[in-house]
Amino acid sequence: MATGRVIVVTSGKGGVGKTTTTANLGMALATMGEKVALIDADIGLRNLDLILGLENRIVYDIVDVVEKRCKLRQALIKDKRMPNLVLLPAAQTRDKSAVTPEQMKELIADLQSDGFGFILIDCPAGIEQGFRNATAGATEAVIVTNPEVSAVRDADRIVGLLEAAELRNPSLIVNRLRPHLVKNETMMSVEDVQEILNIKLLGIVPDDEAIINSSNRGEPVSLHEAAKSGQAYRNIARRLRGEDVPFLQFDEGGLMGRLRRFLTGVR
Amino acid sequence: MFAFLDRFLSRSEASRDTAKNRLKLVLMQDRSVIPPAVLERIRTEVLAVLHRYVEIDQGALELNLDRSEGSVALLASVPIVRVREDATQLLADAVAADAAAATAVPSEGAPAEAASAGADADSVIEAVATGLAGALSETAADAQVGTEATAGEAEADDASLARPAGEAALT
Amino acid sequence: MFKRQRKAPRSVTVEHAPDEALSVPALSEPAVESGPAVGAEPAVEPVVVAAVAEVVAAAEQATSLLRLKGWRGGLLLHLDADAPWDDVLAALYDKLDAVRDFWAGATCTLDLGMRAGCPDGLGLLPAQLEERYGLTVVAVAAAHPEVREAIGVAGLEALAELEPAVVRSEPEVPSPPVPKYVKGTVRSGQVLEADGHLIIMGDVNAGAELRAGGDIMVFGTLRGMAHAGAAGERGAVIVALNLRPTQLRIADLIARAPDGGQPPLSKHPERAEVRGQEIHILSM
Repeated sequence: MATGRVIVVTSGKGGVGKTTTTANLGMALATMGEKVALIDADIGLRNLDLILGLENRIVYDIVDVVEKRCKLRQALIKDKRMPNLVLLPAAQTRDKSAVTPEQMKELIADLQSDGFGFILIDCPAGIEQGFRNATAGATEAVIVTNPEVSAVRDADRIVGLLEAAELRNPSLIVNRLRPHLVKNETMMSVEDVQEILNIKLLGIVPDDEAIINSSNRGEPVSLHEAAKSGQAYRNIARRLRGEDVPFLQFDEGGLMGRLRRFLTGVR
Repeated sequence: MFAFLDRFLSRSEASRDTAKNRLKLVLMQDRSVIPPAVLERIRTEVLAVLHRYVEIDQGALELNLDRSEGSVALLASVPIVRVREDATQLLADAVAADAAAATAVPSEGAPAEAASAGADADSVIEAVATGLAGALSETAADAQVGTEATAGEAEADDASLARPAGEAALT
Repeated sequence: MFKRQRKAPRSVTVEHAPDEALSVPALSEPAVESGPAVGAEPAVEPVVVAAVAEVVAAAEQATSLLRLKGWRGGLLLHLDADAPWDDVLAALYDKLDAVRDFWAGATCTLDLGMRAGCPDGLGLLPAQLEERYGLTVVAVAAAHPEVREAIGVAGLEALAELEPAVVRSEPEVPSPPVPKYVKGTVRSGQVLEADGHLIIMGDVNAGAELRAGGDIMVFGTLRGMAHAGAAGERGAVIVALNLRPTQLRIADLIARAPDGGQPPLSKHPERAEVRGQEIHILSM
């Protein structure tokens, strides 16, 4: 029965783009016809609703469900664009201890039996109770990081903790990549990050003004055909579904780009 | 672009490489672990020392590695059943012996002070065992282990010293 | 008073359509309606109780041969112990005759006090009271044992002493809860609750929650969630100088901000109230 995939989106460090990633992957998977449930496990600091533009529809939240004040179905908020995408919002007025790992597992089992093919869990930053809750029911993990020392170090810590929690083989999303900084060697490249963390690369998302815009509006960027980051998220969603999609190339076209590549020996 | 040319011409290390190298170094530390056998031996020896001063719930002793901010720390949780009544005397003797042996005790934790003050209300026994795990994993004896112990209250023979299992940290 | 009615947030069926009506925390009583307490006595025997109040006052200035009191849900008739029995009886009938039909269905206890010896005809008194006034004698109290014995022979319950009247605790009249007044900004994650009205002197940020049994007034900008009439009072209103909530709830109705941003700010304070089955926002 329980066939739905349960993927926790985590990072250790805050602010690397977990929530944006969760929202966009959920949206992209839903546009591909998947039945998707997003769980905001960041209790007390909920934001997934805001990124999805669903903040004014919350009547019940995850704590109401586990404390049996409502049924799970009542707390699920249907996306206004994609009826096959639902959000289980976090409580804003409680803290991480309001949900236990066991309750989380129960919730996930219920969602699976409701036929959700993908259940994505937006994990809070940190490695404490909130992290343990968010990872409790997951069977797969996606680690989001930025090409930046502190984010990579925290990601490494998370890999270790996930292993300890029997969540092996996490995959990696390198977010906020700024290709031109990589080109002029002021930012670590995806290869650098991958070399250090040594886990499977799931995707690369470029830093993109469109993301700020879409967050402001509550419209995930993966809905935008034109945005490069939206394309990146759609590609990641396809890879999650098992498709083989080549990674985006962030070429800086033109003479200078080619000259740079020639001089630095980058392909 | 000018930054690139500048770097290219001056041949100073790109910050990208600096980042990578620093990360590799710090992760090497982060990832290092003490072999279980060594950890077990540390546990037994620490227990033996602690046992001289306090009654310990041996089964509940926890010894763990904590990796944070550039160093590796050994964290122990030692539930104390009660402080031995002759703890103060023992402590004074041990401190005298230690002072003579001039072991590597951190300057801020002068043992004499610890003994005379000796009045930590929470009856916490602290020992410090920090160092690069690399050093630790070579041989346990290489690890710099300084001890700073504050046990019980000043009146060690006071009956009230028998207290429920508290938490002692070995950092 | 209301010049225009903004269309914006309506009573929206929330899109995940709850199976059941909103379950709201039960509060004692809506603050608005409950006026001052009218009848201070419980509803058990309203007639008698009201009568006692009247008669006690009358009896006080009347003859000292007889005193009436409310006791054990009925009447207590203190009959003077020293006066001749016939005088006492006369005073009694006199008093009862005054409002003859009033006593029907009530019960009474006779108190003979220190009277020595059982008066003749006491055994007949209950039957007479029953017949003439519909007043049932349930017991007779007397200090002297031999009197009590005689009473017992007459088939009545004899009491050695009168228990002190049970002090009737003031019935729980739901007094309107005191409005809660809060000064300062209510921030995300904070929840303010009040049984009655809730008054905020400051802003309420998005992510904050207000819940009140009565009305909610925000002297500032309301961006968070506000639930007025939380115990089911649909007459409750929500007022704010700037009304930009993520969600409004009044009793069991929910309205949310329209998708695609809030309408332009009103120049006047606004008020949300229930009209029909919807929450409407009116400029004040």
